[in-house]
Amino acid sequence: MSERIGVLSKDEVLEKLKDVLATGFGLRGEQVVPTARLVEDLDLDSLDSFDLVVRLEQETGEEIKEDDLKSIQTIQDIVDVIHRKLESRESRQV
Amino acid sequence: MVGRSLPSTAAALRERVSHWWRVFRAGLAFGVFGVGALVIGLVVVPILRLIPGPRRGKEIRTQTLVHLGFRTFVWFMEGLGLIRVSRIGTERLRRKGPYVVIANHPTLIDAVLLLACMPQADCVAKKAAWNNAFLRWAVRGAGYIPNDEGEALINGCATRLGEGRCLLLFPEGTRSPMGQLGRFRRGAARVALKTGCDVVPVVITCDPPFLVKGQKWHQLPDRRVCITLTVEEPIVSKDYANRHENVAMGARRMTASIRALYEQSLGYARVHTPEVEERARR
Repeated sequence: MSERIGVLSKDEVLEKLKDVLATGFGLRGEQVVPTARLVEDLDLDSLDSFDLVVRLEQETGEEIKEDDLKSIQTIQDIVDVIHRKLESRESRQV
Repeated sequence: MVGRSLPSTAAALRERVSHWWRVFRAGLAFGVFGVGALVIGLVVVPILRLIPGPRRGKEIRTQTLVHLGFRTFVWFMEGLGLIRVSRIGTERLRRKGPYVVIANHPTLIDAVLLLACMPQADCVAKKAAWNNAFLRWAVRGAGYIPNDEGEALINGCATRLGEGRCLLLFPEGTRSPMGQLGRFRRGAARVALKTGCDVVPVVITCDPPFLVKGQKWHQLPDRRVCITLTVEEPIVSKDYANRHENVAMGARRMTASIRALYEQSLGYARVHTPEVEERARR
């Protein structure tokens, strides 16, 4: 069951993330599972991570800070960070 | 019984003497390297820097000096019977830049062997070299690029290529694990795509393994080491600069193709990608 917050649920964030990783890095949808590790499983290097952050910031309109990046190891970590940011924006707007 | 053990004792003694003789020669070679690096760094580089002119000229003069020093060192190691170097197509590395030279990294002395073939080459020096008492002066004088992370490193490399210089990179970033390739980073492909420069792959083989990662300088094989440097056909970066995809994707494709080329050349795996097949046809 999807957890719905504001306009996007975590499942929807994951789908958006799959799009970004497919168009930006050529990763196939089936590779982008919540447990996939960015470096070991998806072979994203430091420059890719930088590009990914820029793309996610453009997509979400939210700044991703260095502290957020420290906690990111897997796809699920990214989904959680994005979801938390969207949730916080939603609560600010309310 | 006694008759049998005597020859084997003599053989063991011969082997031991031979081992220590090799260790002595290797120690002599590395000692000469250290003293030479200090003399070059503390005496010759400062003198060269006194010659008036722009930074670029001073760096290139120092790089030429490093090239000549390494050529002498390789010749010295060959003369001592420690290594035998076969060079296939290395005359291509004497061409003027800009281009990127890449290589696998089976031994500690790969950079020395390649810089000995390249009259001018910038390279990325790891932090250990910047702080090494013997190397730091030459590394700084030659304007080598610090091994920073991310965009700073790419920009440093692109600037050198933009000045028409040659750049030497090891895509694995460190020495290869014995008998295999490490993970290939995409920095070389990104630099090539950013600048439009071609990539010249050099395949290095070393038999028996010598100065591999984790091995001490005195842990030497029991025979002369045969090292082969084979310069392959350049990889044209424009082939990977597809207007329908971004640099990250182009760099992935290019790096996969480069890795496949190395796997094929070294016989580590049978790899068939459209790019490798096309290159094989050409």
